[in-house]
Formats: sequence, C-alpha cells, structure tokens
Amino acid sequence: MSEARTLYASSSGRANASQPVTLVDLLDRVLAGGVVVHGHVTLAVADIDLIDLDVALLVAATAKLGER
Amino acid sequence: MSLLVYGIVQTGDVDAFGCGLDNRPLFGITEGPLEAIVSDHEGRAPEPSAAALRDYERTVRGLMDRGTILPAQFGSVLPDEDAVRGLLRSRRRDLLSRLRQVRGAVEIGLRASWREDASVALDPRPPSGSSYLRERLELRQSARRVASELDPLTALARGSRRALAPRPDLPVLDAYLVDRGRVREFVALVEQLDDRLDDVELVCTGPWPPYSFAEGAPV
Repeated sequence: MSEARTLYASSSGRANASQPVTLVDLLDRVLAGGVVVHGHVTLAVADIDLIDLDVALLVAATAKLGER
Repeated sequence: MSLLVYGIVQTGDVDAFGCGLDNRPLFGITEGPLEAIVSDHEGRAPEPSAAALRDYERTVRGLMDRGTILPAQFGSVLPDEDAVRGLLRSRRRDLLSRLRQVRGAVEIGLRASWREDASVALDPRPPSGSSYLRERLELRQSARRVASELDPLTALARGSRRALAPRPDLPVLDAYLVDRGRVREFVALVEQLDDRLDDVELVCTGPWPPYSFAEGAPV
C-alpha cells in the first residue's frame, strides 16, 4: 500500500524524503477535512497522545469543525 | 449497531474488502450511482487517539489505492443504512461532481513555517494594543509575501486551498490537488521555490486522499 510521506522538507531536502508524516499533518486532514456527514462531531481531544502533537494546530482544526 | 463511514465512491469503483477501525470488515452501501464504504461500529464517534487516526488514514488510503474516493471526516458515525442512503441521496449531485473533480488526482500538503531567526515573531507581551495590532498586520503582510512566492505551484495543480497565517509561526498552510502523474514535477518546483525563500522552511507531504477538497467551494 502507498503511504503519505514527507516529500520535501527545507531542512533535510529530498534526500530524506522517506520520513513518515507527523501527527499534525494527519490531523490537518483527517479531522479538519473530509466529507462532513452530520452536524455534530464529538471529539474527545484530551485523550490524544500529546507527545508529538501540536496543540495549537489541533485547536485550530477543531475550531474549524465547530464552524461547520 | 451504527455505521462508521470512511468515504464515498462511485458505485462499484472501489472494492470494499479489508478491515477498518477495530478490525471490523469494510462493506459498501449503495444508493444509485454512489456508494459509501463503511464498517459496523458500536457507540458514539470513535475517540481520535493517535493510533485510531493512523488506522483510519491507512484504511482510507487503502481504498484510494483501488479507485477514486472522497474521504469522510474522521468520526463520521451514522445510525443505520437508511441514514447512509439518505446522505447519498440528499448530496448526490455535489458528491458526484466532487468525485469527478478529484478523479486521478491526489492531495499534496504544503506547510511554510518561519525560520527561527526570521524577524516576524509576535511579541508575547506587547506594550500596547495598537502595537499588538500593528505586529499582527505586519505578520499578515509577511505571510502574504510568502504566499505570493508560492503562487507558481497553482499552475501545476487542479485546485488549491490556502490558510493564510493560521498561526503566528505558520505563514502559509496549503493543500493542492495534483494529478498523480505530476507529483514529482510539483515537488521539484517546491524545492526550487524553497531556494528563493530565506526566512521560511517548507514541508511538503503526500500523496493524501483528497481530504481538503471534499467540502467547501468547488475546485
């Protein structure tokens, strides 16, 4: 199966383009994007492992959800 | 038992085999030309743990590898098959049109963040309200300048979405809908543009299912 990767990063260039994507990249899409099938999305964000998670971005993503 | 929706496809375009979250088997629910790929699910929306998000993304990606899919937002739970058919019926025209728009394309994400030494950071304790507003304005203008440098990328994409300065450290957060055959060319252009931009770092990710093109204004 194909996989989303870091295709390019300033600091490492294309040589290191095999790095996996971060959880932030994932959140930007899986939580903030996609077809919205109902109006009420309940997110238990407190349970997300915060070690490699950018909280500000998560808040931005969930705020976006709230606007819909 | 309710249903967790992973995405919408054209009927018969994507084989719904394999498993989704919690190892539940995937299956399709058809309404005319549209089919939702779902799995059985118990209770409310799944909690967005890192593992669940990755599993979900992996499942949608597996479907994308077999055909064209409009991914559903994580946590899309509907009570039963009738509700799924109702969704497919009520949004039929929009969903079919979006499926046509994304066919043969993938989403590429682009994040521009200020380098540590860039002189654009917001003062965390501004001396006055007006200086705070002035700084914000300057930050936005700087973000606009970075965004305009990235404009050539739109020529290689079918469509794009942009968040300008969504955070103080992030002048631009873009998503591009790119033909599968042009991804390499697109990444090469990102690399070229990066050489021109001294004060930001670029990170380009993908290929993603078209999450950013499933809702909002048409491409």
